Amino acid sequence: MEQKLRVLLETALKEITAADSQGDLDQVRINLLGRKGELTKILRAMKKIDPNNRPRIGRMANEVRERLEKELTHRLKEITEQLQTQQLASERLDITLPGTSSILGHKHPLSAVLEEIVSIFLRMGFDVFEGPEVEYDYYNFEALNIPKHHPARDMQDSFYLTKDILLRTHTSPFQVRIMEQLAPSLPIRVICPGRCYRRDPADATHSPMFYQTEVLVVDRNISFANLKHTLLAFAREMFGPKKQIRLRPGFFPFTEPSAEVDISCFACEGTGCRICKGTGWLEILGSGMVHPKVLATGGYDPNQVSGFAAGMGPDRIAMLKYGIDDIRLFYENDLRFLHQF
Amino acid sequence: MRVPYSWLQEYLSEKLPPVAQLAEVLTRAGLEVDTIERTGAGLEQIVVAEVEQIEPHPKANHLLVVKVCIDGYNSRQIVTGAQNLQLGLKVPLALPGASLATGQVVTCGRFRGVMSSGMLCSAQELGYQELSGQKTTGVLVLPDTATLGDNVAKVLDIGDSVLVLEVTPDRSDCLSLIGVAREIAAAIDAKLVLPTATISSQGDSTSAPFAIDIVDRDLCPRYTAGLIRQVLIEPSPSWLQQRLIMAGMRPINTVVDVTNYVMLETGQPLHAFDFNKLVHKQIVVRRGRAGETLITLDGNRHQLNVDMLVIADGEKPQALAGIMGGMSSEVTAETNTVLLESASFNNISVRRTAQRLGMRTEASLRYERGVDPNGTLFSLRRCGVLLKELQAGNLDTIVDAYPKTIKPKFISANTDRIRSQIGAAMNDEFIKGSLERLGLRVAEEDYPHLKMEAPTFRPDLEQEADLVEEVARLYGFDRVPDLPLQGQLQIGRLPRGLEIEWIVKDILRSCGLDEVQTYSMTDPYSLDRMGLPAGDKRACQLPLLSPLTREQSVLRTMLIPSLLEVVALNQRHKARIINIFEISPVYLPKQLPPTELPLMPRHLAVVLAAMAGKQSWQTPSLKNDFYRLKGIMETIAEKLGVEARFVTANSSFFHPGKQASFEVRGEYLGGLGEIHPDVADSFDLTGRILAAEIDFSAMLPHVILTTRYRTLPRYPGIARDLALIVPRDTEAAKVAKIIKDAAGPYLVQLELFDVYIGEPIPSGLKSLAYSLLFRSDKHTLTEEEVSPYLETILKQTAERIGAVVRH
Repeated sequence: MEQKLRVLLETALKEITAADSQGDLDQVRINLLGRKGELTKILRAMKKIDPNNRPRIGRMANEVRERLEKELTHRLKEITEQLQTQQLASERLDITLPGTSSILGHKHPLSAVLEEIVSIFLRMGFDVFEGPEVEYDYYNFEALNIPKHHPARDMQDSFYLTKDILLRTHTSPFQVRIMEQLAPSLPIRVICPGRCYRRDPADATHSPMFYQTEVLVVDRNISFANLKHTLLAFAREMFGPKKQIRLRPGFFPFTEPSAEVDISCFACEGTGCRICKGTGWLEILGSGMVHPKVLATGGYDPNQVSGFAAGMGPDRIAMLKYGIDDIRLFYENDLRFLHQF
Repeated sequence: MRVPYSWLQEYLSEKLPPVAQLAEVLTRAGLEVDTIERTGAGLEQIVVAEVEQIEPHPKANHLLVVKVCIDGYNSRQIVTGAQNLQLGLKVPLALPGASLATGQVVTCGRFRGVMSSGMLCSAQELGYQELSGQKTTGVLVLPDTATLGDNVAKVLDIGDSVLVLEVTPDRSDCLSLIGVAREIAAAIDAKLVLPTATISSQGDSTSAPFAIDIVDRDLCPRYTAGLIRQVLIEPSPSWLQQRLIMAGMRPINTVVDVTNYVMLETGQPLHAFDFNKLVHKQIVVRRGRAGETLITLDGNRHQLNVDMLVIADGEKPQALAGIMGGMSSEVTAETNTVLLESASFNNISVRRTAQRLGMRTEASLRYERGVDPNGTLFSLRRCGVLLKELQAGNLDTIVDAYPKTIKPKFISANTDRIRSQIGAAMNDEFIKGSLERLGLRVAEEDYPHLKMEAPTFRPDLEQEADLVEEVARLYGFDRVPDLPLQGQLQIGRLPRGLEIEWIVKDILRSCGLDEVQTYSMTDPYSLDRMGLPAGDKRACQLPLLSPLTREQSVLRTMLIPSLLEVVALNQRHKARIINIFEISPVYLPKQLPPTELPLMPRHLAVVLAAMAGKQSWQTPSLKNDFYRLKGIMETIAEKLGVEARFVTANSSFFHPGKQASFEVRGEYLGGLGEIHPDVADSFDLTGRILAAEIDFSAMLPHVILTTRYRTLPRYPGIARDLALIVPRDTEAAKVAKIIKDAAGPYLVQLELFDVYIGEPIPSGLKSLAYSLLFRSDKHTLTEEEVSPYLETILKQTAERIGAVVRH
């Protein structure tokens, strides 16, 4: 009996080692430990053995069974691991094939710039308002110290709908509208982005429709120095912390003093290049101290309060920022253009 | 305004800074320099060259044969006697045709048998010696930094320059050299030097051979005129011609040139009449009369009217006041006596007339902006001085009609307020001194009170704020400190509409749509192309009074046509995926013509126009159909917390069977659908196009942006699938409603996962497959709790729509 068990163990171990798939191994298990397995048969024959030998042989048979089960488990693990290694080795991708793309829409470059301007001023504590694009002549001109036949109207050939109603030529009418709305509360710190219209035939640098953003601050003791600081802070946030601004005297009927604001050129950082025409500066906005007449029209006493205003063109800013040389591209909506942003 | 550098120098006591520096001074003073033109007479063809090779001349000991390069590629051979050459030096090379300061004209030629194509120049030959003060022998050595091929005049800053200024409309005084010089004098602390304008001989005006009658005094505050006798009409001397040309005017003859010269100098337009051609020796300044005509010097005939101011000779108009003279009194070669006008006209009147007649002259430009009425006499006399100098005429009698003297304005200011407005520390002396340098006079001085008298050539100075600007300019905008705003902290607020618009734009971009921006002005016929029925209120569009083109002549009432045009453009460019959106206002007039502002609601429009076909090796083609568009609109509604309903609709521009209206709480906000093939044709579109447009502003009140958390389910649910066979025209929404109504309290999710038409389903029927999820938040549901409701669902759907369960 002992001999039989020993032979069985030896043969079984060989069979286990020889099995190289899960199926083979299962078969080996069934042959040994199944209901009609060889070891099972031996165990069943136990009662025929001399009772004196029974405990010893029984122990031995159990040891053999445990050993076989352990070997089977071990071999199964080996086979599984081997199989996985083979499978992983065979599943090699061409990682140079392009990835599956997620189709996301594109932000229009003007919207991108507008949103940036708006969020900078929001962070500086300015409220955002919107004004009407179709506007009364009164707010667009008269209230801004631009009476009929004022030479300043030379600069603004406008789209009129009637003699009193036109498409606003700038966002500045908002200055008086918002003052009328908020007077006499202080301070006013607001901006107004929106579309404007001028009767300029479209070419590379002109568009009959364009965007502007108006900035207005009214409070006690507002100075030209405050204007300078606010615009410098904006410019650095918008264009980079090392940017410089330059204020030059300019002319707007609704501000006095008026200043054109230049920013150090993006391309050459102020040393002079083709983009800034060698000056090192790029004009980005117009500004000034709110004219006393405009303050008065808006319902504030110019002897008590002062203010500053600025107007900037997101179209121009976007052109400078992205190096776009034709303003018409913004409104043509060629997807080959829009997809670059 | 074109300002020749050398001419400007005449009006200043100090030497002008170099051109580039002067341009900076002007720009900082508020006279923006647009361009600087160099007119280095004769020096144009002298360029920077680099010495590349030096060899002795084979036949002459004192000559050298050198090779120079002006472009980095090609060499030129030059024969020279210069002894100071070294390899690599940059030197001035006069190309053949260049004329030197010595009068010599450079040619190509042989020197002792060796070809020389140009000449290397010394300082003297360039006329640079005097300017630089440096006396050098041999070829002038240029700075190492000079760029090859550059004009030497530019490198050495020699020759004359013209500064082209952009004069702002408020500064009429700077449309003159004297005005510009006054600004510079104030900026660089020099003195303004006025030209001579005193005349020795002057006739007695009481016995003048002509009279002046100003009929319309409101349009002509002053009319000064002088008689020029012994007129000699001939070409002006070249210095005068040169200056006029540089300033952008065409030389004509002595008399006309002098009037133009003085206009450029003082800003006062002058006009010369041939005195003998004036019928009555009388100047009548009056309004034009209906039926009168005038042929101006440019040969055009104009119909006059009462809005136009004319200069008549007692019989008929001889000039359009302030704009242009008439042909009938033109100065010609035969003229021997000239009546010279130096007048002041109302700027609005000149502007209106010039605009009406479409004429823009140097004179009208100045009158439109305003000419100092107190400067007429000076300019007239200045003409007299110049004509005498040129021996081209003698200024005789002057008659000055000035009914009501225009006096300088007084401006009261507070120097403390000036300082606080600027935000910079400066003393009273500085404020006063700055204003004085600009030609203002102190009237009262009791600081902080300061009263100044503003000269009449500065009509733009009216109040304290104007003085603030003058002081700030002279102080220097760049010297003003930058000081942060002070006060309480404030939170910046975005209007709710804009906040929601940004959210929607984000959603749409996440859906793969590109944002577009199209013009608000549109073609009135674009609505015809949309096939809108007569009487549709969108056909009521606001027309522009003077549009640029028909394509942009009315304000749009809907966005879809603009977006269809964008699709057409991109289809022409062979774009395959054109899925776009825009959020912009439309303009809905309350009446035509409008008496008040139109309604300007913002609309949202979406257009999907993807072509069939794969986009890449892996991405399947994007299927655009009604349901994708509806899905996008549903996504927006869901994200905004808006309860949207899609209702059968019948817009003419959509496919009759593939469209819906978009309603929120019973309010119609817009529609969506597949573009009608006829409309697609009229916009030259190919493929299936889907479009939606809703009134975005009207949706805003329904938007709920706040989110509340709901407890996560604690108990498992029971899922059931259910396929129903129903008649084909049964609306899915109706089926869903019956199911929901019958499903009892535990149904938490109902999803339609399949719609099937075809074998083995009999024709006329379709199968709708739903997955249902039942769950309770109180306990674990049992089969027994759910099955009665399933029974009810089957019963209800069978009874109400004849549904049969598909097994």
